[in-house]
Amino acid sequence: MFDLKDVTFQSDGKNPKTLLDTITVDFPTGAFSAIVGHNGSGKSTLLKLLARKNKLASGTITLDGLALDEHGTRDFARKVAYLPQNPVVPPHLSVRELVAFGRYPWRGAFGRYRDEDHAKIDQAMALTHVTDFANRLVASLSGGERQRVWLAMLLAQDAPVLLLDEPTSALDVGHQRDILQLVANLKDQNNLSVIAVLHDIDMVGRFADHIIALRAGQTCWQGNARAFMQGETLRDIFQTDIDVIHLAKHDRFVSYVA
Amino acid sequence: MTITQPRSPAILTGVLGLLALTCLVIDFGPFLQRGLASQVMFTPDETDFDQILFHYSTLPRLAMAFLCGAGLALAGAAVQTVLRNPLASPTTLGVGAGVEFALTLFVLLAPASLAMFQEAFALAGGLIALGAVYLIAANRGNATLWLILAGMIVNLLLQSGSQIVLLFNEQYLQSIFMWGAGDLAQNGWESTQFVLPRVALGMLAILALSRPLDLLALGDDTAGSLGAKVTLLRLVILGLAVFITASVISAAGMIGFVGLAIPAALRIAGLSRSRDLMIYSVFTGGFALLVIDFVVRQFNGLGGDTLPTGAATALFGAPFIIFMLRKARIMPGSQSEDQHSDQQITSKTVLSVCLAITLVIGVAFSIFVSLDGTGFVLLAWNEGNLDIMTGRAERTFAAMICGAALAVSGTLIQRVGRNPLASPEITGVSSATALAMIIALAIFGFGQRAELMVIGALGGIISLIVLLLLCRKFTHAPHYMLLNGLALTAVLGAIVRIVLTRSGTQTSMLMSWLAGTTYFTSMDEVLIVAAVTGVLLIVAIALRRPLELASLGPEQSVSLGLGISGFQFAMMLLAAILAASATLLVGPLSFVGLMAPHLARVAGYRLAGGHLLGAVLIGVNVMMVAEWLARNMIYPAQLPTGLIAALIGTSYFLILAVRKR
Repeated sequence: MFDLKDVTFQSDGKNPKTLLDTITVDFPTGAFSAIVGHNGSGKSTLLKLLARKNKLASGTITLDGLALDEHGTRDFARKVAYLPQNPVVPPHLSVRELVAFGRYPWRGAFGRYRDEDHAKIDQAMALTHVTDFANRLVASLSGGERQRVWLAMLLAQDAPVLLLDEPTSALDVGHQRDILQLVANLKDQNNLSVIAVLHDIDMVGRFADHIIALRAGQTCWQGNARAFMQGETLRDIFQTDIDVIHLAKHDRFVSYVA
Repeated sequence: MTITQPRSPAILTGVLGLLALTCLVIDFGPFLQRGLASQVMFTPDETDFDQILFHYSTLPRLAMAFLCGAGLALAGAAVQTVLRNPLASPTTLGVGAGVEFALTLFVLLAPASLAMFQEAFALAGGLIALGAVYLIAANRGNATLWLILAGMIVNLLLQSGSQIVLLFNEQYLQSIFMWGAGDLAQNGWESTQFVLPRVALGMLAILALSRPLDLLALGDDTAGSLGAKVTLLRLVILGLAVFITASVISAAGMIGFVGLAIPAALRIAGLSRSRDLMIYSVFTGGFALLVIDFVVRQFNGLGGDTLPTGAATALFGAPFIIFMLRKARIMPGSQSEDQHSDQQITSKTVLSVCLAITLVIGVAFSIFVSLDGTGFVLLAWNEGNLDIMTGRAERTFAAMICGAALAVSGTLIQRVGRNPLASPEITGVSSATALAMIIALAIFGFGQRAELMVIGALGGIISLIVLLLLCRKFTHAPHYMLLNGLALTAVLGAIVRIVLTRSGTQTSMLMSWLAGTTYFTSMDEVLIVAAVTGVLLIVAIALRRPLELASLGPEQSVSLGLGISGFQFAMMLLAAILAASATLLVGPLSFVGLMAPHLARVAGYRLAGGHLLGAVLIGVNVMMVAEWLARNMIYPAQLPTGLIAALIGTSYFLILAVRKR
């Protein structure tokens, strides 16, 4: 899917800082990939590069074999759905109206919304449990409710690739689990590819198939969840005294800070 | 960053000081050579014409330039510190326009026996204007922006108010315009004797308060807990700043931008403590105005005409401000506060039908009913009255079309710019349109209104393109929109003042058009504008879906497949064409483009299509009412419709501000 080769990104301004340094990564199709790392390691920057929100300084990124900027705007929107960390909350839109924008890449400015579009919108709202506030204003919802509404919009967009920048940052633990479980299930059922920036180590270990760790703008580790949830790996990535316990009953590892 | 005493403010002041010294040396030159410098300063030889001219004209002019510059810069520094707003200044907050309006009224209307109260009147004018600005802006989320916006609204309104008063007193036009444009020419020491004690007093008082002023920079809560009487202090300082400004304007007229630019430049150069900032401002401001005035004086010799210094300052100052603020990025970040809305979603069909009904009734009323000074007069339906009726119908129709065009234009700009404060008037599109037309008319002599319309539209479009280019590099678009408007309106004001001081015959026609009269419009023009408005409204409504999507911001709309920059450009183009058409009919300053979309949104028209229609309905209604009032309020004389619409608009924002408390 996404292939990155020697990707470098620099900040604007007179003294550009190199935020991402010669990154070469393959994001596998049909997998839940998590990007982890300490604050300021370049996670969101990398995700924005994939979403075409940042322009790379050098290197190449291809999506399905085609260079990233060769996709047309609407064509790209049909393939890749992106949820930024702090999306703009339109003060006047209702939940259903916002979710309906997920169909814009398919219907454009003038195309009529057909029954299948409305079905997709309803389904996306049902999956994210926002149907109850369909006719309320997005701006009147709490942070966690808004996050689920945005996710509903992404699902209605029906793109095979989802880019999520900390999609669960405002959610309580129950909803975090629900949302990530939902994303993981959708990935399996519809063969989606998901790339998410995540903070919670245990959630990463529970749901991600493939993990890319960044440190100071460089990839410092890649691998699967099992290899990630090791004390040594975590200590190396986060530079913190951290370790894991094995839960024999679930055959899983959970982390704790020493 | 290490804390060291920055050197660049000293360099800035030093360079200006050297320049000022050079000007002095050049001015004194002839006398220095003859060793007469001190004689010409204190005891001029009354038989030598050169010495008299120098002693009674050049010298006081130099002194006045320094005093006015110093006073205005200090007032600006104080206001900026007190309000913690880098764009605040006596002129941007309406104080200057308030003083000017009060003085114009006083000079024209007050009996000579009241002359001693002139100063109090000017002071009151400035304070009331500042109070109105403060009231509109108080308790808003983004106070910095609202203050500037409110200042612009009040400024425009008061300036047009002054123009209206002058319209009815044409014999004073020329001289008052000269003064209003900031004329530093002197023929004696009276003005200096008037300004010196007042400005010095104000300056000393403000400087004495510089320590508690530093506390204010910490924020109201912290300052309060450290024992400062925040509100009282703020009022005292603002009062002193208004006092200085009023004194300067009474003596020398409007001199814009010194109060804004000098402290802002010093702040960017690295001064942060308010005492340093104010002391530096005094000298830098004085030197700067002295130099500018020197340059302006050199031009005077060439054409024989006088170029008013104040207007020239605005011409220099406006682009400088834009440049400076772009470099420094001292504007606040984009709206990050978490908006939380409890607005209900309701159907607007009933309201729309009501608005349509009031429209029909209103049109009938407007055609058949008028005031004649004693009461309402009903026009009978017969052959003889047909001419009157068509005349009234034409003017009502013209006003309504303008209302519709401005409403659509404003809605598009507000939606695409994602800024509920934007409008053709605020972003400077209307000003640019008027500017292009005035230049074409007064300087190049284009007389055809069709030509003017095309030229005006071009001006509006160019200004919007500049605006979009400015906004492209940065994402905090709302501020740049306002900045553009601020600069363009200032330039417009300056050019209008300059043109008006010299053009004789067209002056009053130009002025009534600027104030927004529908009197000169012909039916052909109205029909053209109506057709343009109708077509573009349909286009805009057809594009309502992407228009809605644009409200999610550029990032999200691109993610959803909308090529946002192209779309924004297209929509802004539509908005510019509409604003230009309306400006041709009613002049640049009706606030319908700001008010109608805002009202429609507040009334609950949420989605783009409805918002457009609601804004059009409201805009048309407002303009219809404004036109009737303008025609009948002071029968048999008539007021310009645009001014009445602007009055309605400003009152609306005032009421809104009071209700929000």
